[in-house]
Amino acid sequence: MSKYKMDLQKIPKSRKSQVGETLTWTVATIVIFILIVLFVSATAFLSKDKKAILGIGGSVEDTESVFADEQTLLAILEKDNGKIKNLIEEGKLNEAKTEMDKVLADVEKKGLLCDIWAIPDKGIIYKFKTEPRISFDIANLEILNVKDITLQMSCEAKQTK
Amino acid sequence: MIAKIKNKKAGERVLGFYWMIVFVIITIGIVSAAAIFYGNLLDVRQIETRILSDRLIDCISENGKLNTALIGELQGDGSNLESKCGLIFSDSSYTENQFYVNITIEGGKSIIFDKDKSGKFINFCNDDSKKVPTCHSETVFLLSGNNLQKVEVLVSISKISQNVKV
Repeated sequence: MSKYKMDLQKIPKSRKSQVGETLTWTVATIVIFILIVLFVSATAFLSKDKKAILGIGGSVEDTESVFADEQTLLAILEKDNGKIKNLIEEGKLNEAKTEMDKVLADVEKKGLLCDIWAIPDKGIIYKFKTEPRISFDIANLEILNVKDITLQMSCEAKQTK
Repeated sequence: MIAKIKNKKAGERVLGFYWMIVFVIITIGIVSAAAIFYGNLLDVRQIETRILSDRLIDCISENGKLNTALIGELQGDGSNLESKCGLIFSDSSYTENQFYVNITIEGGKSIIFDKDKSGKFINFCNDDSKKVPTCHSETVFLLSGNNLQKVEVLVSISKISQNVKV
């Protein structure tokens, strides 16, 4: 029999439960202390890089602003006396796509990658772009309405090496 | 019987002591976590630069068209940028200028607002560390005549002591 058990036998029964309870609370106190230390350190870690974020669902630091995209989209629609806008209004989306792709290619040459979607109330969604590329964050889309067609646009600066 | 009651009372006193310790630990933990979290400054300069660049684009454009009349009126050193665009580039918390603006119109003029003429702001634009001015660049295409003209707006804000713990 171990010395500890022999010692316990010497202690009266009423005190045994007290020793057990005290031990439980000692361990509980240590566990609570460790948890609190972890809680405080996690808070310190999280608050270190506290930064205000614009947009939905995360940082949009490297993307163009929605307002700038809106102005670019308006400029594209109004180019050549509103040629593209008129084609969209007439529902000639295939012709609008040809014209839009030309303009987007020019814009891309000058360092801005843009994607435009034309979404009619009924029918298929048209996506205007010059080449396949990774899709943009949906939160950074600008929406304009031309007649019953919704236009969405998203741009980002071309990465220069 | 009396001895048992006395033992129980003594045991409760011991446990009461532990309760006290646990209560103090939890209180200190919650108070210090809240103090640490809210004690750290919130860096809003990234948003501030974006808002300012949007305001500048709004100032020089009108429904996607370049406001050529206003561009013609703006001084190259940006001395009348505040009055023409309804902006205030001053902060009572600082004696030195905290703003830098560079509007470059492709094939046209540049408007550079740098009150101290130090050019110190753009030196930090590729620096990711926090204790330097924050930069934001915006590219927009605006209609000038029948051409899409590229306009680049670069905004830099210092305000380090207000946004970062020094």
